[in-house]
Amino acid sequence: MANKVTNVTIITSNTNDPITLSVDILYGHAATTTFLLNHIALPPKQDSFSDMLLGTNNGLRHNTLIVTTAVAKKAPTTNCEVDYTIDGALAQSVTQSILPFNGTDTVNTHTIIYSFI
Amino acid sequence: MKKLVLSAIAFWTIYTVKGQTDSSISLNQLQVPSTPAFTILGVSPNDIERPKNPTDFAVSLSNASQNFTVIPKSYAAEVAPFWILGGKSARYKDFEEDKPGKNILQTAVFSIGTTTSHSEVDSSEFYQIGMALKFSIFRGSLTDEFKHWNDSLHQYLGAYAMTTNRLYDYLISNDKAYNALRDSINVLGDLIRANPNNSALNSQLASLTNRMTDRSAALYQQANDPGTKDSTINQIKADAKTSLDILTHLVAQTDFKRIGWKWDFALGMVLDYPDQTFENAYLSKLAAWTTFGYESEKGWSVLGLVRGTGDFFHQKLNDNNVLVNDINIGEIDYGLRIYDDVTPKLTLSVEAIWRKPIYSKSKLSDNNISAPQATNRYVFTASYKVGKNQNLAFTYGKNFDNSFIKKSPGDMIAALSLIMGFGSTRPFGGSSN
Repeated sequence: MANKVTNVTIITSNTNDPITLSVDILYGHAATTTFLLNHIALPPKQDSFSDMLLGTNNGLRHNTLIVTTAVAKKAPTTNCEVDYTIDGALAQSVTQSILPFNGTDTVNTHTIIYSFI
Repeated sequence: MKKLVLSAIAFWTIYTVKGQTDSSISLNQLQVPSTPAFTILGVSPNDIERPKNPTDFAVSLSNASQNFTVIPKSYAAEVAPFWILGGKSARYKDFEEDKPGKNILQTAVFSIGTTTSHSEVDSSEFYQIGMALKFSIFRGSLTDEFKHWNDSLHQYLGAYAMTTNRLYDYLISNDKAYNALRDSINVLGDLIRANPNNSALNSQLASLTNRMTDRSAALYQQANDPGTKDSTINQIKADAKTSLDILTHLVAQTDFKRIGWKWDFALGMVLDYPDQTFENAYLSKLAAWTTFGYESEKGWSVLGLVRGTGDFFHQKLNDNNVLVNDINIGEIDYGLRIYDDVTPKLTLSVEAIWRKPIYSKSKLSDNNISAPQATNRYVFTASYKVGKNQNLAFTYGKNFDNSFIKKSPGDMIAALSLIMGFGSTRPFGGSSN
């Protein structure tokens, strides 16, 4: 079972505007995404979802959010891509995590480590 | 030329299967195909096909009777363009929903098949190639069994994902090099907030972030070394293995039915190659058919068929055994098929189809050809899955009484057909007995 990790730095603004996360699972596979924000687990999300509230710009600064999506191969293609989008910070952040299924893999994991600065 | 055509088909079949088949996943979802190309060529045991979900690519071969001692003469390959082109726009919930637009896009299958036939003029054997496009407008809904399985799948995907989170959290929190990089980007953050367009600062931030990725990937790789002595890491890995074992078991149990209302539509054509050359090929049949019905959760189903067919005879023997050219005869078929999945492997079905011919009376009488009569076909089929992708079908019944083939009225058909499929996995809910 393969894992792909990507670190992403998010520059926060000096505001209390909300920061949200959207996750898009492409190619029709099944997935669950889990979160650890400063070592604390947030409720998991199934498949694709939009605009999950993470906190405010000022509140998230200097925090680390680890996001892992476990993807089960459920579509007739070995292609697999998970797109992660952070909105509400100084600039929008879009991260494409591409990790095809190979060999006997039935489940792969995509991990994004967000550093809010 | 015959050898060339066969070699080309064999090469293409082997090449494409080798190149595109994904048989590595142990999902028992590749059902025995009921390829539309076989249906229009008359190779399928049944005329009324069960709706199914497509694979991205599949190859079928059929061997009817003769004690299976001969090389199969009927081959078909089918591709689902949406999945062959990647299927990037598909989302998991699309499989659960039953929306016509997405159904058509995701279930459209183009199939091409070949079989042999005999000339009614001189009984010589010739090849036919059938092509068909088929798609589902409604494909039914998934059962409660699927919903329970789906909940479990997502639950354990979440458990497995969380072990990965815990591992990274432990690794980066306890790594001095990673934390040094983290401290550096915190300082850069304050500078960039004050000067957001400073390219040097942004470039430095990107470089540090990439180094954090490299460091975290290296830490993960080290942690997955079987010789790791760290008890926390080993505990997380043990938890991950527990979740993964359950996931592997769940993923292997995904042969779910779709139930409820179903509606398929198909278009097809047949080309004849009377002297085995491409140059002299001609269109011998055009057909459009729709299949609709209801499939119950208990296994019984009722399907209806309406089909319009045009047969184009390049040359035909008339009632005086004289060859005449360019005779066209159409047919409207309407039928019913009832089947029951007696066991997961055994399906019994009865099928009845009534045929009404459409023709030009003057054209036939001018050429001394007897007018075709309304006729019917009724068959009983017992279909048994002998292997993962293999169906053995026993068919018994009365075929259409087609006077142009010069078969005696009431000709009984009884045949054993082995239909085998090769291809990749498909999304939920395939059935094709």
